[in-house]
Amino acid sequence: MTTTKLKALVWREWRICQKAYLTGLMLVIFMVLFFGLFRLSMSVGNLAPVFEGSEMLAQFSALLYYMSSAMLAAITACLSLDVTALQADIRANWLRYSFALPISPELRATSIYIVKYIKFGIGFAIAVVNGMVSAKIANVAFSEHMMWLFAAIMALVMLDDLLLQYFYAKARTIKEISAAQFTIMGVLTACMMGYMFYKTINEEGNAETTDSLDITINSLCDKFISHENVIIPLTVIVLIAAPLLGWYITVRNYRMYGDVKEDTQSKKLFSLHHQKETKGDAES
Amino acid sequence: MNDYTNAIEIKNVTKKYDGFTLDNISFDVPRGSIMGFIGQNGAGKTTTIRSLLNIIPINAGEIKLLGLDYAEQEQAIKERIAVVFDELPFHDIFNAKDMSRIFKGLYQKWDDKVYESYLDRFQLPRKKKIGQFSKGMKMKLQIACALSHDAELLVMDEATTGLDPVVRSEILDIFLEYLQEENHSILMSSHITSDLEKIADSVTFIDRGKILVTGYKDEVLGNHGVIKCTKADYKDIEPEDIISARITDFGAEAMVSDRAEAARKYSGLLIEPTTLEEIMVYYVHRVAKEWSV
Repeated sequence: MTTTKLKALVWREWRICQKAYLTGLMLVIFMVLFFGLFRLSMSVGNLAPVFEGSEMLAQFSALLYYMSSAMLAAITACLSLDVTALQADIRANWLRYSFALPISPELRATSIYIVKYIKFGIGFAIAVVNGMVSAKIANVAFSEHMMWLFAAIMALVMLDDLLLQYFYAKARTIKEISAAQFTIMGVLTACMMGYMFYKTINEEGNAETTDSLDITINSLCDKFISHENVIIPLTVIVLIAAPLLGWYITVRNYRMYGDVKEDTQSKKLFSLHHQKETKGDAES
Repeated sequence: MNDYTNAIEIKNVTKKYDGFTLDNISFDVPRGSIMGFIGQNGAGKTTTIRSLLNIIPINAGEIKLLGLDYAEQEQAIKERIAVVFDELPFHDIFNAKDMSRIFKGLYQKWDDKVYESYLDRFQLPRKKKIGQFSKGMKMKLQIACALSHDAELLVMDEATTGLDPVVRSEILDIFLEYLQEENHSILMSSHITSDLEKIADSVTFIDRGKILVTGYKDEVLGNHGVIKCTKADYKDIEPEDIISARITDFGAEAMVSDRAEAARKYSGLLIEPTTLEEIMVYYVHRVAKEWSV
């Protein structure tokens, strides 16, 4: 029965967010296609005479291969984290209704994560295909390091998902979702600013570099490769631990907050434990 | 299947919000009956329903549905109950067929044939998106979904509010059919008391988080009455004998909760039968005691 329930929930969840997800995916693919065709035109098309032997060609190749692939991986991963389903559930009053259905918080969270990872999988596959095609167009070899780069990007997005689960899964109104969005943006901006501040302090006094774009990108990739012995294990750990932790946070939020539309004051544990506790109180 | 006497048992339930308390409420819904749960907006009907559905945690008390305790058998209870809210809780992008696909997965006892028969009866299109349904159609779809998994208890929160009289009457007939099965029970919250007067076996009246009246509808209606008298006669009525009184230019109308006793005590005065709506109005004014329109 659990499998049947899960199937129904996954189908429902997918149907709700598929339109927004596929639209986002189409836009990203269109953008990448545009880059690819432009690069093709630079080497064998109309633009070939203009760019032949030019430094721009090397720069654009690096941009296409590394940047567009990495960006695609990041964007498709981020698309997996959209809150369309939660917003739609709140708007349609499904969330409140679903608490009266025979669905356990564990099942609910599992269905959310299955859909999320289907989207992650699609995103990863598209990023890899794009990487391979871009490599072909840019006349470079597609290396396994790129796969790890995509995986590391996915891992970073999964960490972001933890934030999302912590704040979004508590939301029971559209207002609360907006507040959560602001909070998450605030946390991410603070992290970024902190990092930039740290970098500025550490680089103070260093000579300013004026390398060309392809050299900068290549040096960044070299940096990534030289740190792979740390990045790969970390990525693997995050890829395994983040979904489990995210799932746990989601279940906990469903248990703790239930339908809190009216219940902003009382945030007592919404669980079997609480029911038992209240029953005990009444009896005593 | 377990044996039980009351489909719903609520004992000393308290739920505290900032500015509102569901105050130590208790009532039962006997198996095989329909209870009307009445009260004005904000009286605590929805909070009670959410508490009994375990949608919100209670601060104290005990709730049993179909003889089962949420603490031990939440999923089993939810398999055997159905809920109808005032607004359709399904996404606009789905159609009636999609809903069947979802509920078929969620309920063990989901019956496609029953669901299809309700769709036919309500003349609901299978493939039209729910977003294009009228309010009446949406409510019918919600009821079709609620009645297609052989639920033993149907809980409705203001389900008939905002519907036209024809649709309401059609829906009330469905509920009466549903009650033909001896183990089927209904708790129906509404402030449209005329609907409840038609179909309810018992009524519970809640106001400001407190249960004021609960019992069989005929007994409640039989016990209560309205004394219609002149202002001079009204002055002779002891305040503790009445719930509240409406003072008009022409006289006074006072609600009593023990009609037989009032008839004996004030034999010279006319005591008329009352309605659930009147009972609700007079009880709402119980603190002020006297009121005018």
